[in-house]
Amino acid sequence: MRRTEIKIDADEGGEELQAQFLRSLRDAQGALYGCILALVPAGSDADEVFQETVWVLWKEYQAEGPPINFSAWSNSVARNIARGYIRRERRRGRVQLSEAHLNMIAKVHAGSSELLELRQEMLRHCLGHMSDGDRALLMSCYGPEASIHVVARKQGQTTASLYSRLKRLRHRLFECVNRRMSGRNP
Amino acid sequence: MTQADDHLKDDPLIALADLALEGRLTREDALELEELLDGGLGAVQRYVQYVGLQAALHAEAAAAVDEDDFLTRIQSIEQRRRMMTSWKIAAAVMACACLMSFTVYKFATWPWVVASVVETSSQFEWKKGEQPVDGQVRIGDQLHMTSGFADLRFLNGAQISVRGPALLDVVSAKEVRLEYGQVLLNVPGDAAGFAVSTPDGRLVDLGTQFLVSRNTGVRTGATVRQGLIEIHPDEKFGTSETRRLATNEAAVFDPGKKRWVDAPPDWESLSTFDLKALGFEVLSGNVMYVPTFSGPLPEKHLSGKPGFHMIPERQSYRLTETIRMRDREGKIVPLGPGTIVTSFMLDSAGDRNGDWTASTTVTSKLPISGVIYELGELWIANDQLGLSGIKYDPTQGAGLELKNGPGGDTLSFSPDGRQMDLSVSASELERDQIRLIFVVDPAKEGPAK
Repeated sequence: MRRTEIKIDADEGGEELQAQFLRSLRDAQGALYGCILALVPAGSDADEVFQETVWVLWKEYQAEGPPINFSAWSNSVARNIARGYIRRERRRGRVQLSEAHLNMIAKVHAGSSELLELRQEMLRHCLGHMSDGDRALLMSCYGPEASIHVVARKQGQTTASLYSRLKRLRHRLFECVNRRMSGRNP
Repeated sequence: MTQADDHLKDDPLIALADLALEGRLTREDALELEELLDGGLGAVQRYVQYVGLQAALHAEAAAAVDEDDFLTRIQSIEQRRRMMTSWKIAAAVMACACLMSFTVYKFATWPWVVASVVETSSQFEWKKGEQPVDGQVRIGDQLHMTSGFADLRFLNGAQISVRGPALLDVVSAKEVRLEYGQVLLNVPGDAAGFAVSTPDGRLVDLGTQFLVSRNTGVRTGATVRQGLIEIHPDEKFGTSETRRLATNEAAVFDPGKKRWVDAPPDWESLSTFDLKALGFEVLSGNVMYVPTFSGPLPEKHLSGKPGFHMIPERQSYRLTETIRMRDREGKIVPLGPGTIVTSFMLDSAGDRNGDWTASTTVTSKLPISGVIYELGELWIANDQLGLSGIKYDPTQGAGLELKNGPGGDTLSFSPDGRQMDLSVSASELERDQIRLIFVVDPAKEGPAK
């Protein structure tokens, strides 16, 4: 079958340009992924949008050169790609929030970048107060190559019970971050 | 932390955000979430912050791994016709710890394979140019079959058997779109959430085996053999009404009412898939697979119309006494003790509505060695090849009466024994039976006397 091969290779863009792009991407990836998750919350969908975003970013980067503000630029590209993805999925019958609600979420997210950075710092404190076991579980479930099914099997749990446990840990962290943001200790 | 300590578990906004994060938001949930978000900026901020926590956790976990791992996450996308998104992964390898320069980055790409074609049937054919490359199925592939069956195995464990003619798009690692044709899905618990979308709706598996049919001019239908599925009507019909089907339940899409309505299960199509799994492919005629049966054979065909019941009998059974079969040329061949055979009973029955005729053309993956159809020989072989739970009462005319001309039963094989044409005629209360014999291993002692 016909396939369009797209490669990121050194000859195409120059090694230095590529290295620069990867450094910027690494620094911005947390915010970029957050931006995508706000609109496409399901993990596997978000991964798909993330991958497509990286590809588009690299092509633009090659064509236009480094942007003035990599993070703002990459977030805006990600939002557009996420919207396109949502439209495609909606046509396929997938449940999505309405355009109006997604716009509202995107605006609030864009206006909360500094606040979200601060919350991330608070999260680090909260993670530090967790038991080693809970923290290790979170890191293994949220890591780049994580698979809930694999972790569940390793832990001798069902996927459903692991999801429940993760949900409880998430709730606990959310409350902890909220408490710290309001000036109270965890 | 116990459930009792979980103060957020009853918070509706957080509960819905959790469902969204887990990819399990139904249409009703989405409407409820929208209503909550309409409650004010505070609700939207709270939603953004909670979802942001998920992103922050990913970022923390990513920060805990080294740079090589970050690079291996960078993947590229392949674009395919019909605007279907496809991926390729560009894996980056930083070969040297030396950070004097970043000149050692090297990306390799490969297509994103999500499934493979594990088996195809004898009558199977791809439409030229619309088939997977090297049997590997990739996201964005369009599989166009003109006939037969193809079995696909997805990396998440889901297995799909496709019956042609069929047109199937591979949307993602957990979703296919069926334009037309039939698919039977076996989805293990780990792969729950696998979906089949059709122009009439999207069927989401919740850990099950189910059949989806969509043929030109025929309504889309779904039958659940085991487990549970959820049907989401296509948005173009302006309804968000989802419904669930449990074991032995079925529904079809009613274009007039623009919604899915109850329907009788499509056992006949399921039977066709079962026969294919046994190595048989029914090219024409009414053949129903009856895997478990006890008591007397039914006087009326289970489908209500004249046809055949295919009953698996002893499989790989070592004969202790001689039986006699007719080979494909019609010559009598004795099979002596020690011969290992597999037997299938093809039992025909009418509709109890006067004289009847049934015909079929069946292909077999393995060549059919011979058949037993005379009443006496059938009766003798019952003890060894028949199943103990079935009452093989000798009813009038149970054997075939092969003769030329109208009114007689006819039987013929292709030269390689892999195709059989059979036609039987009988009166209202009669039945005709034929045993298909596969000699798995001939007796070592030589031909029996």
